[in-house]
Amino acid sequence: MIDPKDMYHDDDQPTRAERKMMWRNIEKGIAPARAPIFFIHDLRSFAYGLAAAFVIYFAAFGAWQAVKQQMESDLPAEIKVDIAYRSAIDALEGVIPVTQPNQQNTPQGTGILTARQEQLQLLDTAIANLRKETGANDVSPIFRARLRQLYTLKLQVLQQMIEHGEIEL
Amino acid sequence: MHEETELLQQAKSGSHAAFRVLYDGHVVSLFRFLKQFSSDRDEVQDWVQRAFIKAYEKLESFDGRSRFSSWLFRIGINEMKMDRRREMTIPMVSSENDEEAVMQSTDDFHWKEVMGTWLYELETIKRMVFMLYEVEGYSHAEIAAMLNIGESTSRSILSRTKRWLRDKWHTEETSI
Repeated sequence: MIDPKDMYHDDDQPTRAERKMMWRNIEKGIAPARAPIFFIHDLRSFAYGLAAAFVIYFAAFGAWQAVKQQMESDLPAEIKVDIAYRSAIDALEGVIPVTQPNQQNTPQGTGILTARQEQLQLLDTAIANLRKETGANDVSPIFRARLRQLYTLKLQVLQQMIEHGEIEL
Repeated sequence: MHEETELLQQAKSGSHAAFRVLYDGHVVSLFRFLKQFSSDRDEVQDWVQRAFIKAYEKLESFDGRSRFSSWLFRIGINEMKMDRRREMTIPMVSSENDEEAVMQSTDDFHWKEVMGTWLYELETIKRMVFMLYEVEGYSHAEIAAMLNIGESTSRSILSRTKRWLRDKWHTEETSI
């Protein structure tokens, strides 16, 4: 056997720098190590991302609420009255969502109930049409007076229905 | 050897640190061997890098029946072959009787330093077999596996190379 020293020259050996460089390239070429630390890093960034999403969601919700409140407080008094009417009617209709006639057994009772329901429908249509024609933020006295009249009529109809026992509470 | 088996197990489990130790232990021998077949250091670096990357990727298929170094050399030589396909033709092999005669005639072979330069006059495959056997210390079985040739072919090539070197030495000596 021949001693490698007699065969190879110093020039044939890789230098320290070459060895380092080759290893760097090899490391790049081989699959990433399956060390658990990478999993921990992934898990941590996932948790941070989730927390950040919550923070952003609540911050956006809070901002939206603040803007909404600010806008509502800036509304003219006429529109606030309109909102109050609507809220009152909605609340009343919410409590008695279905009208249940006590006099449904008699033809007269059924006729009255049908007439009341038609009245309510006509009032709803009139309110909707008025809103469509003028716009929600119209503060003109004529529009406001007409709207108030329609709301009052609707409330009166509902009041009569309650008083005459046409609605079961 | 036991330590190397341990390192191989760790490297198979994905440990780069263990593979780095294996790299440190074998990079010099692989580099200097492949360097004999190219004057371009960048090209040699490329073969070495590709050999180690492929070795890492195929570690699962290494069953430990052969030495890790011979397996690595085989991969390294294959990488070189990919670039030097035309130079790697295997010469015609003589019959067994002829081979025996050749082996007997090279029993008195003695290495001289000047022969190192004469080796470059030989075909790549002959130089490879000679260096793998005489310098790197691999057996004919290992060389046969590395170069994808028969064991008898490896023996025959070695004998012929030694005889050629010895004859050349005698010719040079008598001419002086």
